[in-house]
Amino acid sequence: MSIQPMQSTLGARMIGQWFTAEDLASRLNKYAGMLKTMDGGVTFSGGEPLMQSEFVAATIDRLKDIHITLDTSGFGPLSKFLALVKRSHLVLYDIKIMDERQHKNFTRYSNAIIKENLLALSDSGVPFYIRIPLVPRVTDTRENVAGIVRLIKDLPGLLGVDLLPYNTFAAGKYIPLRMDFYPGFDQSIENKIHLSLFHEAGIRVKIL
Amino acid sequence: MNARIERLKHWIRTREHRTDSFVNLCDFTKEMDADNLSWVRRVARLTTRMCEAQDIIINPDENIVFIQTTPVCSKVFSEEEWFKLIENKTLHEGVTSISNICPDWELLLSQGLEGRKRQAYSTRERLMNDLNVVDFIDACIETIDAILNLASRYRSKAEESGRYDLVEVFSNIPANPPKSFHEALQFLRLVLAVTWLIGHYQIGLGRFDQYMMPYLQNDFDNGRIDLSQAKELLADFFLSLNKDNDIYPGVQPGDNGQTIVLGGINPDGSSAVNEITRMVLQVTYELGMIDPKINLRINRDTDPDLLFKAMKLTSKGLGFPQYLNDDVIIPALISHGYSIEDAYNYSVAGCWEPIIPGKGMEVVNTGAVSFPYAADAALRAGLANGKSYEWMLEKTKQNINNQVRLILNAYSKILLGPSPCLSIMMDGCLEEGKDLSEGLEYNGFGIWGACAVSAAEALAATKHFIFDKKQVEPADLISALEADFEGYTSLRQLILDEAPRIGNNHDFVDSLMVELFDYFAEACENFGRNHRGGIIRPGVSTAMYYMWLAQGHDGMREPVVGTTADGRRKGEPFSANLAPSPDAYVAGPFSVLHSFSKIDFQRLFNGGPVTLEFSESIFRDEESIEKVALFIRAFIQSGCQQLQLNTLNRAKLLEAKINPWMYRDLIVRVWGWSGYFCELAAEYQDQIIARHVFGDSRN
Repeated sequence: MSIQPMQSTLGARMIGQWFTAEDLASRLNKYAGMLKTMDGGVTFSGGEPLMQSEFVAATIDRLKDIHITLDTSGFGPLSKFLALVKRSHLVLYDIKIMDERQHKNFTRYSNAIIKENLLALSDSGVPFYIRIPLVPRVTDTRENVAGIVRLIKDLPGLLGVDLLPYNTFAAGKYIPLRMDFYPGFDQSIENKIHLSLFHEAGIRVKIL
Repeated sequence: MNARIERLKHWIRTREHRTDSFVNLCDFTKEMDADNLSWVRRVARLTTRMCEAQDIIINPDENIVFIQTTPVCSKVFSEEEWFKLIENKTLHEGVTSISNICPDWELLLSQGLEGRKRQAYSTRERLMNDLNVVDFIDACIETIDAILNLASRYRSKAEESGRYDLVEVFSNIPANPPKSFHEALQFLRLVLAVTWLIGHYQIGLGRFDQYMMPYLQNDFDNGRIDLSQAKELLADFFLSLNKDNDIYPGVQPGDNGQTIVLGGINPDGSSAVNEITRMVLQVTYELGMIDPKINLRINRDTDPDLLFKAMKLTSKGLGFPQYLNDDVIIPALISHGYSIEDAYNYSVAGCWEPIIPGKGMEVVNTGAVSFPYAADAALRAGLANGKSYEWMLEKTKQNINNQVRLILNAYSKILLGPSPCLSIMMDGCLEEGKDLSEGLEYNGFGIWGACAVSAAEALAATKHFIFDKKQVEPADLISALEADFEGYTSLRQLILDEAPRIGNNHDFVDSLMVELFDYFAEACENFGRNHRGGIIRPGVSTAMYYMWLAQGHDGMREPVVGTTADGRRKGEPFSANLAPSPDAYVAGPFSVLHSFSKIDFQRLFNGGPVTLEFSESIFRDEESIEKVALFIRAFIQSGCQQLQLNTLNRAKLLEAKINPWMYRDLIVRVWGWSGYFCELAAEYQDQIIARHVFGDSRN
């Protein structure tokens, strides 16, 4: 893969940096005291931490006493997933589409692994939030949301649900990467937000 | 805010309170010449006449009165006399009027003007053979009478208008100590306004919550007012501070130094926070006006709930409170010879310079050392002559030293005019028969060490590309600087992309900045005491020099610098105070705090905040405000001295779109995460700006 500069409003810039687990951990450890003072911590987030789980695990192992949050789509082999979960204090877990065919249609993959990993997460004892990105008429339908509620409502460890309303920002990433953006759905439609489904199931829900 | 306060705010903001009689009609120099008055008596006469020249205005909605109705102050000397007087002298900011100090409001309130007058008479009797003392004391007595006369005119007007509440207030104050919170507030307003009338400026309100608490407590104990009435009176008072700020002089409108310092710790380690501390944070939040400027003294034990209240005020986007770290500032004052009691009682001058109420006659802002100029001159000379990097550092150091000497030599000839008015309110002037312009307990000179970030980055870029990597030829860098990078786009891009920048907790470039500040502190320390017996106080702020050092300003003593080797083009402003360069990529607010925490604030104690800009959108709900309040705890722990958090509004965001490099570190909340505004593509920016329309109209 060749590395090329990204186009931003400030002109072409090189974005990103190479790190070893040692480098990153030593950099984060400098802030350990400060993070503790403000009840903060470190979040391993997207891209997708499961794409480089060995690196993330090795980094976490080198961190001093710091609160760790894992922000993941849950799409990855169970062993790798659990390796990161057991190193975390909190997990933010994405669920997008319940229907397997629809899931394949929009993401190219089945959601079976995601559902299995969710159960494993719940069994692990690490507390978690479910995050639902609301895509108009794709994930925000009553049927899909109701399905998610059914799946999660009795899971031990569930702290609540964060709803992430749709935004058009993804398109902006395609331009600097010189790619075309065809979302496959109508971005201009307002999100439907079915809060009552969560309230009825007794799940704490928040719109971010 | 109730309807009455809303009406008053509207009345002031729309400038409806400015009447037709608002004209310049004041010139009393002929009378002063005819009476052949001494300087100090001229100033007293000025006070008499300026007070007399005021129209008396009482708006039926007002509880705290006084409006300045003369836009310009009379001179005290004819032009000819004036030029004789100032020949071979240095004027501070072009005038002889004293500015940027903090009176002993506690003393003044507790004695009343009659109490101060009794002190004046007693000194006059004791030292009656010293004509200078008698002259000074008589000037003080005339000044007190001028203020009392102004107050009695307000009393009469109140009577005419059927405002018997104000009749009662002015029957007691400012002659006597206030009997209520209301009287204490009106006392302050009247006396502070008189200082502005006669040409003083940036006179601070000091530790307002401390000296006002006894009056409020007394009201509470007597059941005279309750908490909500107290808040309303406070709103009245704060509104009154905004009535005349359209005519106060300053570098920019609003630059008027009407500061209040809240909170802090006592010498026994206990907290000084009280009911007024919290009330002020809430009332200024509700009022949303530029004055007074709020400073909050905090330390590692500050109650999280107070930090939350302060952060709520920050989220309002007024640019205050400014957070002052007692854990850093108090030991620095003590180590510079301030008594323990005074150090714990510090307030701030117009912006951030720590000063002692009633005891400081310091000139905290004599000038700025241009670090970018020092580094640039050294780099250009060194590159042209094949010198080593160490040679350039040494030259930079020498230049910093020269700039310090230049300022201090100029200020060894400073001419400060007498001020019977302020002398009444300072410790020991009336007691010793000595005008405060002759000096008080603390007589230091403060100097700003300006724009060290850019200078350190220019040095770092030179070291990195020319000496370490040998990637750039010295001649090319010189030509690029001379051409303002015109035709050297790729070299400039290389510097911007790859040179180490401050704000990333990067040891090499951070330590260069620290070294520059240390040279500066050393130069100040080596100078010894000034001719007034005061110490030299180095600080880390830029004040307006982040603009002036790049673009020049009339009458400025400091050198202007052109294109600099950090990639900054000619005329582009530097970052203000302690902030990463406008075009630098920085990892985040933590790394910024870490970079600046390496500065030795025990030596560089004249003030200057780390300045961070947050968007309003990160303060989305109570939970987010709580999270940012926790960031303040990180600031305290970092060992930085002062912190300024700006919450940006829509107008600023629009400007940020046009000039992204000016707002490089602006953080916005996008949805569940925060990012740098300028790194978002245009459509992201537009979306956030659109969102802010609602935010603005809600506020």
